[in-house]
Amino acid sequence: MKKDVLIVGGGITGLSLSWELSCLGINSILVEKAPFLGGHVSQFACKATETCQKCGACLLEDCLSKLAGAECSDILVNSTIDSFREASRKFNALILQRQSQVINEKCDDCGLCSKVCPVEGALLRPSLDSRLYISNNKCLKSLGIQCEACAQICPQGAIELAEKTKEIKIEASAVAVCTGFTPFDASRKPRLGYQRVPGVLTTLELDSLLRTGNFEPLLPADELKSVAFIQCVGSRDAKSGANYCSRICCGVSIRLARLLKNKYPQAESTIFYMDTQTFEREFDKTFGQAQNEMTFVRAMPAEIRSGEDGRPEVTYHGNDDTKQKVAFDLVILSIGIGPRDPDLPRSFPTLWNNRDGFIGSDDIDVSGGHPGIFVAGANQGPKSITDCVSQSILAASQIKKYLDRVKMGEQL
Amino acid sequence: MNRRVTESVFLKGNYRVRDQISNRALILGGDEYGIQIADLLKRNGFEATIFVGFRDAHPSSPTLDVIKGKIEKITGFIGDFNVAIRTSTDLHEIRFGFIIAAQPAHRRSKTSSFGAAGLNKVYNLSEFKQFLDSSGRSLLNNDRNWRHIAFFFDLKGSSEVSQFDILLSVLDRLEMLDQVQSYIFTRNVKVASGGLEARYRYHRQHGVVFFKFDETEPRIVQDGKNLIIEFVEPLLREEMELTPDIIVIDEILSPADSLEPILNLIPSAHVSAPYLQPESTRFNGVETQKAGIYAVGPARGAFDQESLKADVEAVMISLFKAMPQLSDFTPKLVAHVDHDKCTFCLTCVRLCPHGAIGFHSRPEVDPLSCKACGVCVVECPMGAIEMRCGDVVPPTTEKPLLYGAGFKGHGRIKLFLCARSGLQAASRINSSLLSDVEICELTCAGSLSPNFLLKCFRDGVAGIIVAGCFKGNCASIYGSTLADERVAQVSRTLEQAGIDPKRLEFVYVAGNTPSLIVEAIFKVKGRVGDLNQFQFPDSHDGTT
Repeated sequence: MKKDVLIVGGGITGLSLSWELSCLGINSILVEKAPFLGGHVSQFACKATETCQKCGACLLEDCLSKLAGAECSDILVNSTIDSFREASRKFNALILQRQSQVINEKCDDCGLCSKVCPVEGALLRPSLDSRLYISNNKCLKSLGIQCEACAQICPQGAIELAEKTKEIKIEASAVAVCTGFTPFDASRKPRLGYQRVPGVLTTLELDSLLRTGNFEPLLPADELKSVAFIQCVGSRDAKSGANYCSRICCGVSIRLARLLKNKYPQAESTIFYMDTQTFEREFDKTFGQAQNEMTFVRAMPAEIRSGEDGRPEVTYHGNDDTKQKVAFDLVILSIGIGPRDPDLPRSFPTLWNNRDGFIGSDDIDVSGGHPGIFVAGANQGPKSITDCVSQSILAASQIKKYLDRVKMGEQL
Repeated sequence: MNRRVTESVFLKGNYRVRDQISNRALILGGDEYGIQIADLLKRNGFEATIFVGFRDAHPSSPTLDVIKGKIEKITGFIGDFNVAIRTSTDLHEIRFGFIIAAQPAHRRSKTSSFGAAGLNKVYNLSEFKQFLDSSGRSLLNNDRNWRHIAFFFDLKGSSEVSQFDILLSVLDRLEMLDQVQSYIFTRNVKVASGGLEARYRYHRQHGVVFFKFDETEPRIVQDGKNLIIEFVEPLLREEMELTPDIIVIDEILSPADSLEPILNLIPSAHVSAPYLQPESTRFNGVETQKAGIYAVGPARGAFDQESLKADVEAVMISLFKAMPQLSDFTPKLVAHVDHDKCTFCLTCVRLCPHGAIGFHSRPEVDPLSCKACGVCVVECPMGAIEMRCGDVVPPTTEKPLLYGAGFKGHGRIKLFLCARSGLQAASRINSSLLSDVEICELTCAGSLSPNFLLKCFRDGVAGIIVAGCFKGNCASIYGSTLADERVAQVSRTLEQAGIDPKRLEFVYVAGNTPSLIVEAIFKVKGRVGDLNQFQFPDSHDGTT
């Protein structure tokens, strides 16, 4: 298959880039490892209270519905790049696509399949309100073991298991790497009690819990009275290897705190922070309002333990120079954005590493360090959803420029 | 697409055909980025004219077409803007295809907020940076005998990341001077951009003193020739004084104030003023509500270098996207004014969120600017506007606003869903929950008329749910807000007619909140309960 651009990664950047390219009449093929599209954004909740809070999570749906009608963008899910070769300004990639799937039209969400599946995570839902997918990296059948438990039990016949993988050869003139980020692993900071102290969550977990609109699995709604947000967990922290600001967390925490307050009016939020970062225009107004709705404490908590009543207890150095201990119903760690290994074949050209440890250039520029290879989105540095979309527009422009140059070269 | 259809439309004279599309862009602002945009456009086959105000510096590039003056008025639509510019000699009327607002940010000094305006030891940050840049190597002699320099950042109004970037580069320069000690008085350092945190940390570890304030802010007191900063040291909580040689204060950034004529061109721009781009995630890159007008950097509220660089190319992409539309006239759904019914009340001209309706002896909809949101169709008191797709007029005048009534089944409950939010959310709902509801797609919730809702009830629909985008997320700025108001209005009418108004429900949704729609369905289903279809009382036939 001949294509102009091969896009690696079907998150918001890749999808939006695919759309922007199709607007310019450039053919692209998008390869996504997971069985579903949208990456991290597909797990985020809409943060709107009475009004939109401009988190941008709904841009994914927008992008997907636009792409459904686009002519020159192909998408392959469940696919990985097996080999990669460059020859005379063309990139040849061999894509392996696994074929097992849940047919959405037949599935009635009875949940029997998930009960019989022997592997955790092989049947997955990216978010609680989403349809069911088979993760081909984990499904035994895809790994060559004869297990058809789910297909046999499904009363609707909605599960199609296939052993074979489909091979797709692609020749592209340019490659865009949009593989996204790794959220900071909060258990690397043991004193913050993540996974040890009940009631300590990350912003990412809270976000996906809120997506379904109810909190019940965690805490009865009327018992949620106090929430603490701890900022800069895994950002602005040279010891954890993150000597950069993750840009998004101040906005994420303030939006989540507002959303909680909107859903559970008795829930009071306290935000522990170093510095607040401007994340919206007319930030003063936004922040001024936020200061009326929640408490801001300039302190980085020393530790979080289970208190006497079983609630998580935050210890910090208080304003009046004393050690403070306050218990909260929930403690949310506002985790940062970390670089992610793009997981490309070895023969893939070496990409630049930038000053903050991400791939791609230091600048807003999307060049990847090799002619024809571009890097865009959160794998180039911490970005909000809207930043990712903006960068995909820039990437589309630079890719177009490059393709035009290549065509000129061919004519010469 | 289907070119023959389009041509026939234009022959019939349904739309105002433009004789010629101008590919000349007017770029407001002649700094580095304005020139970059002009260069980029020229290289890609467009023509560009740079506009600068009387007081602005003349752009340095000699090859560019530059006009200096004051914009009096802008009228028209994409491909065909008419700009009246008063120069020092004459009033010119020039035709442009596109308008790109790329003025540098307006810097407002904070010195007067500290009572330090006009003091000779107080500098604005950008002035100071300029001074350092221009002094070059001579600075190394430190002939001014600076020892202590105090910087105020993010005090009295929050500062942008780009300001902190400038502050750090100033600190980089001052590091070369041995005897200079810098003190930063701030509320928050702004490091939310690549590499800034590392640079901030570097300076912190290399002798720059940072004071971070929470409640109290430092004051500047004049004592004879000296300036004294009085402050409460935030960690020790003790009152302190510092007598610096100079004080440098950062500035507040805002868009250029010469955007007025453009803001006047877009009726919905008062929502976003002084910025040209609404603060909504629906508007990516440099697009504004109105086709053909693009906002770069400060004009859309983005002040950092990275955004500016990206915006320069985004302008190019936006023009590329607009051009095929301009040349092909692809048929699409657009509003159409029936001039026999029109009474020139100009409601449509005042209300169109996209500035797509102009008045040239009668209201005319520009088909290329129209986003088919339907706000005008519903608001027109004479019912003189309807949506048409190419030359295909929707078959019944009963349902002028609905096109492509989607999904399947004719249930007792009708869902009117905005295509930008509700419909996307509904596509995520398990079909078993939608078995006895009927889904109708709207281009915008703003296109739903109260009369149509009443007609639905008269036709035997038991319950209706209308879903529009959350406030601030509507691509037509106030489309969903209008819909909310109309639904409330219909509810009152229903109540007067003796029908339970709870059968009608408006919900604000987003594409990723299917739960809100499910909730609304259950709510309305519960209320409607086992009620049979009911009859509208004869005296209220739903046309009120």
